[in-house]
Amino acid sequence: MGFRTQAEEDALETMSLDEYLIENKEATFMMRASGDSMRGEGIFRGDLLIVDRSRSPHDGNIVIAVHDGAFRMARFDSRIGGAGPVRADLAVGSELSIEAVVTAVIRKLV
Amino acid sequence: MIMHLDGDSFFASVEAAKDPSLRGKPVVTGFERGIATAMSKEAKSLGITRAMPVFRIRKEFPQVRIVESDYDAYAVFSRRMFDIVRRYTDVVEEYSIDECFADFSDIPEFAPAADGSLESARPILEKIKKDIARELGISVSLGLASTRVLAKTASKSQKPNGLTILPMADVEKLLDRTPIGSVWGIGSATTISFRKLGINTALDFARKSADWVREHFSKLQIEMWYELNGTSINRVGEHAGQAQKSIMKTRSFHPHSSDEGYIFSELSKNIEGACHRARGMGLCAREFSVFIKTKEFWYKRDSVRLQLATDDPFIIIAEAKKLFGKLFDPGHVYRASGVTLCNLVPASGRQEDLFGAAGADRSRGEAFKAVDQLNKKYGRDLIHVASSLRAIQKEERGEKSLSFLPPGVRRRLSVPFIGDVL
Repeated sequence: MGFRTQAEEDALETMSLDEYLIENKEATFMMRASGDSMRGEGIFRGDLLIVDRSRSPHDGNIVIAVHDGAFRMARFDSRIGGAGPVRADLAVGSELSIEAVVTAVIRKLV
Repeated sequence: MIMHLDGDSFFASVEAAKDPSLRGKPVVTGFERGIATAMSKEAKSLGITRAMPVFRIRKEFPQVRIVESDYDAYAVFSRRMFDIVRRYTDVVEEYSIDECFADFSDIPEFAPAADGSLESARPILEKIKKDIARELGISVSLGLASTRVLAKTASKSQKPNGLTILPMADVEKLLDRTPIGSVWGIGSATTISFRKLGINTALDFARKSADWVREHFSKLQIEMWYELNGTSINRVGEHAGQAQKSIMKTRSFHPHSSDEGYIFSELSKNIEGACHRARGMGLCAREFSVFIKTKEFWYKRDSVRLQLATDDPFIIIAEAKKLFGKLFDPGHVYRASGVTLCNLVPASGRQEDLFGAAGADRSRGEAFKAVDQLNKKYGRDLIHVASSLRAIQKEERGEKSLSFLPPGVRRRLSVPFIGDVL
């Protein structure tokens, strides 16, 4: 076996999507948006979401909250309702707990 | 110092992590088998026990949520739980799907203080619990002690969500309130012989002299006596897989199929995978069961007892072919197949049959060792059993999807799918 050519070397420098999308492997899960509530944030029905349970949410982050026994997307805003996430149609102060931060959206275009 | 970790109501907890509507509710898994295979603590407190029939639970406890077991999810959560422990030590022994031992002897915080205290280890143990709770959404109970038997006794003493640090000074107190029958590894028959000798608690046993124990008991109980007295006999990692009760391998296929040959090749691939895992753990199966699952989630299952314990896929595939012929109904469309190897025994201890049929088996064992090495080196499916070929060819064309992925997604991503979100 000879030495690798430059083209072969370059080909090895491929980017792994897992590496790009995942920071903490143990805490990362995939979910699917089943509604258009976050259309304004560029998340559409059917999009795949990468969510990380180990991240602390910052203002403006899209988070996964649990509301009425179901996962809901919400925009995190620390000014409203203490640490609770808010969304127009979710009452603040109802039992909301933040499960994860949405770190990426995957959408196929074709 | 050795830590024992035990996932609290593990299967039911994983189900609740995936589906928030199950949280805080009585949950039972095992819908597909028609019997309870695991219960949440709420279900246990109703009096539901393992193997209780689903129809009976429905009738007597209509408030209970009964769900189908999701072994893929349990395997992912299990692996991640153990990987979180590995952030703190390399010496981790996966004892079963929801239990592990970890050796922290090389970590300075785990060395006992001058007075024997182990409190300096507490922050790390709390961090492990916190990481698992936050990242996986499940709780675990931990025990820390100088031996495996003591660590397991400690973790069991406070559940769920317990953290029990057991310095030598506290051992007597704990053993005194531990009935001998609930010490790890002591079955009901042994409990009776202990009782006859006047031993009711773990402490009664630990206080006997070494000579007395040697006189009345065999190797297993002698080792236990040493471990209860703080002398480590079995180091972490040395008994890997000992408690493994079964090895299961299942996959769903997309698109669903009613092609008999293809479905059998899927089953064959699962058998190969399960045998590979058994060889890796040095185990042989005395019994196995296979199932095929229809599009409508109906299970058709049958099992067979083998003449000889084996880890040889040829033998199991040949037996499975007979079962499959009876299970397969061409009028149905199928979504998955699977195999469970059970009644596992150490490969070294398997019995030979009277007429030496095990001889052929043994030389094939050597061949499979070589196959495992080649597959490890060049990729998992380099060498495989011919009957698995169609399943593997399909996989190479990229048609297979993990059951964790939502329908329509065909790529192999290493991120498990946990559900829809509004």
